[in-house]
Amino acid sequence: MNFIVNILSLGIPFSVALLIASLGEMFNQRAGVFNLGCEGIMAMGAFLGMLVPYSIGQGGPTSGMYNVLGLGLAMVVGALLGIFFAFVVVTFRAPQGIAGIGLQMFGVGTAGTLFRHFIGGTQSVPGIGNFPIPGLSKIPFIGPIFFSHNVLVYLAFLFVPLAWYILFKTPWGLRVRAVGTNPRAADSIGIQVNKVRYQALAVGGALAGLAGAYLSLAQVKMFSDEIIAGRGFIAVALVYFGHWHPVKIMGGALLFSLAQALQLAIQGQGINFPYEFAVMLPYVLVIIVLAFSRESQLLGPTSLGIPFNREKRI
Amino acid sequence: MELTQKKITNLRMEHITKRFPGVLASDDITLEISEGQILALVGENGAGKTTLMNILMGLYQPDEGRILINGEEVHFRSPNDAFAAGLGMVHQQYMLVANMTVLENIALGFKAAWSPYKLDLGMVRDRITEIAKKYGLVVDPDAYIWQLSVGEQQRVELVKTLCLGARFLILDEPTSALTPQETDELIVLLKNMSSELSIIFISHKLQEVKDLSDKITILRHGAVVFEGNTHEHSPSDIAALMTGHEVDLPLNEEPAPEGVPVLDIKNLNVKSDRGFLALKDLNLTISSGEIVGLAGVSGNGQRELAEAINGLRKVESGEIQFYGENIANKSPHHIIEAGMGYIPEERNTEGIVPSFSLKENLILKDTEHDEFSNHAFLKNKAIDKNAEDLRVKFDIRSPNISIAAGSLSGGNIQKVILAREISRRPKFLIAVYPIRGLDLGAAEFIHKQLLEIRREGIGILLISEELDEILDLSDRVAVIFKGQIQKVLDRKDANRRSLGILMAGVKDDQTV
Ligand SMILES: Nc1ncnc2c1ncn2[C@@H]1O[C@H](COP(=O)(O)OP(=O)(O)OP(=O)(O)O)[C@@H](O)[C@H]1O
Ligand SMILES: [Mg+2]
Repeated sequence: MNFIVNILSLGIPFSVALLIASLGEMFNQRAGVFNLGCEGIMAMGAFLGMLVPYSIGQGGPTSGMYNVLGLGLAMVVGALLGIFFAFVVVTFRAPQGIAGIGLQMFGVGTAGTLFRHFIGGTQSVPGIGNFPIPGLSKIPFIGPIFFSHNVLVYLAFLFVPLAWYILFKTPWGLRVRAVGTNPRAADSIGIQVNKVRYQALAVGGALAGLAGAYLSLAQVKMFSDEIIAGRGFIAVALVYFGHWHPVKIMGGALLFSLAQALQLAIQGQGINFPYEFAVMLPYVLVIIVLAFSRESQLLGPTSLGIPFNREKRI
Repeated sequence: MELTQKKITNLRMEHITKRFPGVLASDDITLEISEGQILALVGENGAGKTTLMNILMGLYQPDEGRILINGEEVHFRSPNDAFAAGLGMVHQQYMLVANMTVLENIALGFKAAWSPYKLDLGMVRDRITEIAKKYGLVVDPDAYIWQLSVGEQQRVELVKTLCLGARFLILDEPTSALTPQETDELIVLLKNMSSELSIIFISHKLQEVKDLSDKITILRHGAVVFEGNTHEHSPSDIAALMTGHEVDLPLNEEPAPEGVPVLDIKNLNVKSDRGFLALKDLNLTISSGEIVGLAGVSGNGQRELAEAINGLRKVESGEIQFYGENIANKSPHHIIEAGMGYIPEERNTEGIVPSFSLKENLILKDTEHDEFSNHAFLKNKAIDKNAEDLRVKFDIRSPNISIAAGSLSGGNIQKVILAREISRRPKFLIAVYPIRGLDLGAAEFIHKQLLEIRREGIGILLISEELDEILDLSDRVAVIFKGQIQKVLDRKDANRRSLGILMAGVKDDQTV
């Protein structure tokens, strides 16, 4: 029983970076653009997020405020990188796959270089501590699993219904879905297709930045070159996995992270199981589920990856 | 631009010129229309009708020329500007988002319902109800677009345009996918509406043009070749002016062929997209060398039948015997290789790959055959020659054979599909609305082609809502109603009246 509680209470905070990044990527893709540069934006977010508390706030009494500043900076720069990406793929209609890989390398490389310049070696920050919710966190089993995490964990899960609401119940969400599915129709009815795509990419970038900062401030509490460890790419895969729907994406993020927690637990418990296989587990699981989940083309953004050009008929 | 409620008493397009790579789509066009008038814009496929209207709506920028409303020059940089001035357009290719509901599609343009944090769908719903009542146009606001038939989508487009408050309507081939009855209703509706708004109406069906319009403008190769008052000209005059020669639709007057049954459908059950049975124990047999017309109001199972035969829709139970083999639930590839030809209803999504070139689209089904491929390599010379030949033979209007098929005009896309399917010489052909969107000259040509391949012994299932087309071409006529064949008539027994009664679902024993 304890083993299960451990896995669950470990897996849930693990899922947060993936969840935030993939919800951001969901907005990108719903608007018809896939951003493979997510990983790069996350790396920048991770570096900038810890830079502020590290360089000015180190452990001081107001470190909470510096954490917030760090998160904010990560989001702002993330949004700017999203807009830069939009400039390349929306305005100049560059192929999205290639441009995304470029952004990924740029982000990871820049973050690493800046890190060596400003911080240097492995330095940890106090980061964002846990905030067990009074009362609720005392409930046996439920408490440690759901109510003993840092604030960002709670916020990330609140963001799932919020993202759903934005996507399906607001005019902006309607525009996003329309430009990702049939930009020509959206254009003919007066929607500014490229403007909406810019906005969606800015939102996606901000969330990717936040996800990165979560890793360096709340999960690992330090920065390293490998801190993102492919989570940006997993986030992109999770969007497909979750059929562009916030709730299913959350399911995917949880599945992956719980498998990861299980994997760590197996290693930690010294169970006699080849650790190489344990490490593979989460990835294999995602591939299996992807292979068996039926593609619902009808619901997804059918113009994903296609730049919009009004005077071109195709 | 400010939203105005001002009336459009006069709209004028002056010296409009628009070039696309290799095409002069609009050649110094001047056009004028006053309040309460209905102007019919006609011309062959690729003449430039849609382009001109896209310019008027701010979708394309003209290279030269200007637009004046009530004598004042206007600049439409996007459709928003055109909406603001009171213009609205129903496009030839529907502008609907397939994975959203009717309600959401209309809300997309209904800015009054947009508050920053909430989309007021209730307000849009009320507006739809209001328009539906006022004009008698019934749509289901909660249906997803992908669930609707083409005819229903067309109605949604019209409702959408009216909901958004258009005071000047542009209708680009609005009747091409409507049933004859729906067409009649639309004509009456538009006539009534013309008291309060001006309409530009594009159609290839000259009887409609005659019934509806006050003035007529004919385009050819991007230029105006004729302008006049509709009541002074007969439909056949207009046809001759349009094509440059007398149009004479051919008739199938030959004796019934003595072929053997080649397509034998037994107790076929197939579900629709919405999950209910669209075909219920349907039976139909077609022999080689005969044309069987399938008459019926659209939505009675025609689409499902065509898709099931071609392996594009799951068969729940029953058999489709094709040259002695049951092809039910076989793969489309298998069925194509067995000799089935198919002219699908949805030309852009099923008939062509829009981003592929014209010549590639013409060999899509034959990429594995020796004619066009040499083991792993394509035979480019043969492909080019094939495309050049078909372009001339089928009069496909395009600057060259390497242009993306999606950039062709609607009617020319249809010609590409027809050219491919007919020239492949299949053993059997399913033709769904083969002349939808074609100009009269092209329709005449296609009908001749269908009769020619019939003479070669190819059986044809002709699915159409145009009774004239069915009566002109068929050896036998089968009437479909609610997923079953009501009755199969010989040509001599079929006429508009008898078919109309059967199509409405009246069993024959009640009529005699
Ligand atoms: N966006 C575009 N890019 C390139 N060529 C185009 C484009 N739009 C139209 N054309 C070309 O301009 C010409 C006129 O096309 P248009 O669609 O206006 O014809 P149409 O009169 O509406 O024909 P139809 O009756 O078949 O609909 C065609 O040769 C077409 O290939
Ligand atoms: Mg057209």
